[in-house]
Amino acid sequence: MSDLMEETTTDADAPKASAAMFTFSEGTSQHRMFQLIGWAFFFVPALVIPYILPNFRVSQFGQVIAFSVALLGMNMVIGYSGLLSIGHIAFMGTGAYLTVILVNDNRWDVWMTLPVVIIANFVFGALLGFPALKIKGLYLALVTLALAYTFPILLKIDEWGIARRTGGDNGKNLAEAVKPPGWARSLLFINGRKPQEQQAIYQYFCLFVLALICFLIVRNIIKSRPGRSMIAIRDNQIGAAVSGVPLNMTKVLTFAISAAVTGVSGSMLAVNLNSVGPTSFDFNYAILTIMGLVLGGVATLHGNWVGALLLVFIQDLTSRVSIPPIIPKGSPLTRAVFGIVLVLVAFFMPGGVVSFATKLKRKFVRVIPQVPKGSSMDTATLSVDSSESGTLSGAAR
Amino acid sequence: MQLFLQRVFDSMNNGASYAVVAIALVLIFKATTLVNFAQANMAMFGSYLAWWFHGTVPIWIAIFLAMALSAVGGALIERVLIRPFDPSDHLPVVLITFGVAAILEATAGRFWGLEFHKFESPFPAQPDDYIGIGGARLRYETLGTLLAMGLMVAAVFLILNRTKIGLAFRAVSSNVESARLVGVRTGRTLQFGWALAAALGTLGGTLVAKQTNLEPAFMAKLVIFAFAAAVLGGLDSIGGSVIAAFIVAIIQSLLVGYAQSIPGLGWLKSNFALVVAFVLILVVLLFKPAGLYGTKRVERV
Amino acid sequence: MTATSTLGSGGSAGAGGNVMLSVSKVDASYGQVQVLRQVSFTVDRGEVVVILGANGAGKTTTLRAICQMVSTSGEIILDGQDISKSDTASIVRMGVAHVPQGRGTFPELSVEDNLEVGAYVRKDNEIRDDIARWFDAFPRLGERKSQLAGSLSGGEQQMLAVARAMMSRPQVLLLDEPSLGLAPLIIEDLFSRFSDINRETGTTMLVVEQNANLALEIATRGYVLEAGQIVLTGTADELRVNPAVREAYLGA
Repeated sequence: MSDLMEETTTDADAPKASAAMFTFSEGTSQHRMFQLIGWAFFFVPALVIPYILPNFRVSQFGQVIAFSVALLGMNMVIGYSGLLSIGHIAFMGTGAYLTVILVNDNRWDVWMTLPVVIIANFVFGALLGFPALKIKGLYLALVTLALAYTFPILLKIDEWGIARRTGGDNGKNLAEAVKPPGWARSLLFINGRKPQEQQAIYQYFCLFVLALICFLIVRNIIKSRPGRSMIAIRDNQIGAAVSGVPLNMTKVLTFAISAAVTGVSGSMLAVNLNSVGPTSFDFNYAILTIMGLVLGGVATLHGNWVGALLLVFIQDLTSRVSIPPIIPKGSPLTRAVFGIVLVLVAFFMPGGVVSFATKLKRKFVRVIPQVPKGSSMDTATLSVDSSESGTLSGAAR
Repeated sequence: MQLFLQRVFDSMNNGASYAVVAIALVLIFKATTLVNFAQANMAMFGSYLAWWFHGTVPIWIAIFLAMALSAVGGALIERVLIRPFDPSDHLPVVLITFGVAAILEATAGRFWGLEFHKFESPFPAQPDDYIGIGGARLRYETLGTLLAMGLMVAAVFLILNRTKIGLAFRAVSSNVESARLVGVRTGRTLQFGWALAAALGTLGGTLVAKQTNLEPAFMAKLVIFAFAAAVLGGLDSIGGSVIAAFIVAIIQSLLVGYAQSIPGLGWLKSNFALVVAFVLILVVLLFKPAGLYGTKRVERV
Repeated sequence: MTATSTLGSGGSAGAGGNVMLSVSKVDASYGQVQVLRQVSFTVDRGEVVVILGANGAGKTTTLRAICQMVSTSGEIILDGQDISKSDTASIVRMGVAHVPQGRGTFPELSVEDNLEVGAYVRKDNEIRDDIARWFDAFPRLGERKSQLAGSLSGGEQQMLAVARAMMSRPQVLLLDEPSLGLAPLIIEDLFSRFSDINRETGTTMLVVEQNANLALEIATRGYVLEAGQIVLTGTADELRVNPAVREAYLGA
């Protein structure tokens, strides 16, 4: 996994000079091999899963994919910009409902709804971004919390035909499930399978590709200038302002983009579940997604899918857990288990799984960054020895 | 006019409850800039305790006992779950308070069931226990509630302003570093604050339980109003919260009453209150972040 | 101001003999960044010692190190007792009063409450009397006794901060850049008060300053701190005529 991906590393995590088992110079073929192997560990299972697991599990992993994009969007605001927005679930809901409504009532194709979802949520995000300018920290959390609380209620309003369109309490089923066309069936080698399996596998890959695209786009945004502005604002707002970062524009833009991304995740969820309902986007899920974010790793790229994985499966488990005779199945105490998990996460994994994994990795692997040629400190002879308060010491090799 | 008065009187019970809970929120927020998302369920649990004790002891003793136990609980929560964390990083504490809320809700459901329970009124509540004013009825119950609230607020005021620990608490709320420099043990002082807030929450719950009936989520809605009141009052002013609480209650009562007769707004009546509270919070934070009575913060660059 | 002579607790012989505060080979860091390196100095009972240094030299850190508000290694001895492993509250109870940079008043508390909380560690019943006496000593504070501390002017806040620190009847008073942000006339008044307090109560004082003119006038001895290290020491007179010191800190 590339070092570029993790944003939350600190000098304190770096091992002493010669402790690492493997040392690579950045850019060498050995380094590339190492990275390739790392990616293989991720991609191989991801691509194989839909073929070997039963349908409902494949569908569950589809949920994971949808939520990983949701977390990606939330991370932009909470992790990289430091704005504590607990209500992002509302954008997810907006995306989901928009997709279902357009497909059902207006006979749109599912994928055609995506641009609309993106634009609509971008606008909502921008609108919400403006109040976010004035409201700080915990106040923002409060307001967005209220938003999360209110969203399901708004969906069920009888007046103005809203409930009719949204299906009110019962939600709405996607009229046309996403089915694989002929060429896709050949491409994915699923021609011999039952239609339900074909559908499950196809949907999985659609979501997977869509998620990959989203991740790549967001990654590029973060590495770009606006992205770095966001991070600067998070770390030191006043310093950023004084350095010329256009605070307001950046914050609003951040909100808008993150809303758009989260909106897409909502559409993805709608495709995956084949339906939408107000309970998928309520207060409970707002907290769940935050938990997933923290568990995975705030402000990391990989934390998003790790968090989504944990989120979906923890929720699944805690709703089914039973420790007879203390906690019989279906007892209200399952909620207590969820609460305990939240507390434990806060205590033991404040940096999330990804930061823990990063620390672990650093014990074994060290990558020496390349310095641009032509500078006074030449290439491949530098060791960044971070145990000495961040100073670079040149060491001829 | 009579209807108007009646609506105002009816709202006072709620107002008293919002006031007490708002103070609890403000206490903790003032001292730590943390919002206690578990406040609602802590109050709920305390109210359940009071109801439970009432089976064996008279109602007011039950309430006091519950408040005392809540205080202990609050102190424990601060010591074990809040103090270990860096106060400037809000995210872990958000998770913790949500976790505590979930645990309390689940435990209440497990022990006392998920169905509604009737909470007996601590005050005379027969149909003809009221004073007639201008044609409207001001119930004894309401007066009693106001009295209870008044006493509690007075007690909080006295504690904060006339005792050493109250002074220490105000000092910590004002400038925690300097508080350390004068020898205040900030951890213990904050713990005291949490204990007091927990007791307040429980009282707030019991004052309103007779009308809403006990069930594990009964405080959740109420706390949003208390939040609205706290924000309106400035999130760092105790007196402000009390006044704001009554304003919120009155507005709620009036609007719910009148909205029923306006076409197109019928949906408001059931979940209205929440939406209004939300809008209120939003509007206040946008235009007057210091609320009605809060102190303006000056940020020096 | 003879009435204030009972307000201090200095002058009584303690376990440390003549040396009130002894700092030896102290390092202090904020995380990975080391700010103090092997800093050593002493302050005798009843003395006024000044530490001069530019911005970033580590002056504030030095005072914070004494109060253990930052992690340190090395020895810090207060009146014969090692405090390098104690916590801030205990150190305060042992008789150290710290007036931080920027005054550190409690802005939302009244002037009177500020003084009262200054005496938090005391258990005697003369606190009310002390408050009255400080109002005598600083009449401007007395006039504003119910006003919120945050509404006072800079100079008044500084006086309040010092009075508050003295309310605990400390053995040692630590002052972090008391002149910061104040007009010259006010600074003069302030420093003459410091001198009075030291003379009449015998309270030992350690003053940390950037602009040292007045500080050297009321001090007996001084040290110069640069990049976290003590580079010079001497009596106040010696430092005042030292050319390097004059250029860097006396604006000469």
